[in-house]
Amino acid sequence: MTLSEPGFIEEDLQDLFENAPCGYLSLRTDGRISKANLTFCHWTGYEPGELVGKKLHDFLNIAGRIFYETHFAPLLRMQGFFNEVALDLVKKDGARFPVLVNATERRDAEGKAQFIRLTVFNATDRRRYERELLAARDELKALNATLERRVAEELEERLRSDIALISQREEAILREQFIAVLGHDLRNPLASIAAGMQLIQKAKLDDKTGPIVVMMQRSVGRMASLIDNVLDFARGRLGGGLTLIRSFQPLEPMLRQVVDEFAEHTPGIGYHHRIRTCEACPCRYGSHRAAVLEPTGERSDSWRAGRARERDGKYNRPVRASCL
Amino acid sequence: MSISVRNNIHTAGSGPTAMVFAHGFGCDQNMWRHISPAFEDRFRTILFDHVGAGGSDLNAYDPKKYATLDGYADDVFEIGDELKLKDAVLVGHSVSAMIGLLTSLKAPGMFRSLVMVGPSPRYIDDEGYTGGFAQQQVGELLESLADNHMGWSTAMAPVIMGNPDRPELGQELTNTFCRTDPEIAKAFARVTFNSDNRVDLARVAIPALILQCSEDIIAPLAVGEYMHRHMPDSKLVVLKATGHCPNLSAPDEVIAAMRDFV
Repeated sequence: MTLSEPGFIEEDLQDLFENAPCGYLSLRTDGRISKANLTFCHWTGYEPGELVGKKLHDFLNIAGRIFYETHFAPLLRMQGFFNEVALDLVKKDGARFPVLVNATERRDAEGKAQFIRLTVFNATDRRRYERELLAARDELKALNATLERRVAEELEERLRSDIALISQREEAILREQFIAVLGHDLRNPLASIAAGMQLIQKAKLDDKTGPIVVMMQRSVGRMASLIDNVLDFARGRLGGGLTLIRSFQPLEPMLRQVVDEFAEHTPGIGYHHRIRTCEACPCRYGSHRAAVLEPTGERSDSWRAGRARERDGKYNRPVRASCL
Repeated sequence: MSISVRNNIHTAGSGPTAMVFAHGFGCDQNMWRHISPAFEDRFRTILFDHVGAGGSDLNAYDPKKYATLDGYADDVFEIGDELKLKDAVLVGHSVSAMIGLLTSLKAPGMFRSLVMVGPSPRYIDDEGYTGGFAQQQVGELLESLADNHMGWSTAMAPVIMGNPDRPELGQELTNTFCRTDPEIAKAFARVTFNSDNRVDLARVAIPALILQCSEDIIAPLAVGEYMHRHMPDSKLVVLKATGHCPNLSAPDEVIAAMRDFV
């Protein structure tokens, strides 16, 4: 459509000012409104006549006033304009109306301010969106903080259990060192007992004492090998390792000794036993003997479970000799 | 990091006495662009930006240190110490009037007088005291600071802060005088509007000029009068200028009052 065509309605500048899709304000240098358009009136709920003479501050909340004084007014003086300033207009009914404001300062030839022009844009949706963005950012920040805290706690917990583990390990090493030292030191008194037994054996012994001394000597021998085992154990744990020699040896004498000792400890109880030989390291018989003793002793589960049979008023303990 | 870079110090003029200009909450040393040149003939003028504002080094911003006005006063003291100031004049606008006052108490002899433009020892009303703001209003202010980024973008910040004079940034430099990291702006607003330095007023032994605007919503007349009553050697001048920044809106009036005083 051109100007010459019929039906063309020429844009009325007054109407453009009054009903523009943005609010217009003209302020005097003291901040009072000298002119406002209808759009601004509609948005704020005031009658056109009510606005002239009011201060811009009258339409701002407290934060807007402070911001205007500390940021926007100085900016306007310094650079002659400001753009995209976010303000909340307070409507006549007290409700908030979020806007974005651009402003220019009209100056005379000497640079002195004459008046200020403001354009005001409805920013309701934009402000909502911005607040959502900020809320999302804050939420993210909070989540991040939670995550960081949880990682820190987890790490601390891990560290604590690591420390506990290390101290347990240290304790175990000390315990094994103690066992090693104890085992080593037990050898001396045992050696003197063995020597004493030998001297006693040389003396004349009656029929009752003789077998006891033999018995005691065998026990001393076993005790010595038990100490060896303890030392082996400690050496194994402390990193020295065990040396094994593989060969066939009769296990029976050893096992018979174990049973005899048992019988000695618990007179009146008969033991039925069946012994098979198997492959073992002769210097580690003690280990097997320990294994033999364990399931048959007082603390045996099978014993407690009442598997033992009473026969002719005597306990019949099952003795299991097995190779490890 | 030198103090000169940290606080973006600019000196000009010459004279036996130094005049330090401290900007307030909102913008930077540009606030003094119409005032400081008028004193360059008789004074050595020193302008700077508080850490967090204008062309200061943002990396030097420590939220803990700047959570009190004392942290800012320590910086002003360091600036004075670095420049070996003695018997200088300290001109502070808005919250920096109080920062200047605190600095003068820290360093007797560094300043011989104070010029306080729109000062307030406490912004929030209290029993028997009118500060101009209710507690709840200050809360509202701090909350709404999130809405105004003044074109702030983190990506742009280092460029602007590091090169305030780079012309190729052109349009992007809009609003820079008052552009502040929103988090820093919020922290500065919190320390400013929650400050209470009424007890310090009576401790000032040097002469002080209080420049009070006629219509100032941030530091109303009652506050200026309170300051005058409680500062032993003070002079109150009520300017015709309105608003909180007479240094920009009515520089001639400010200059005239300052000349009378110094």
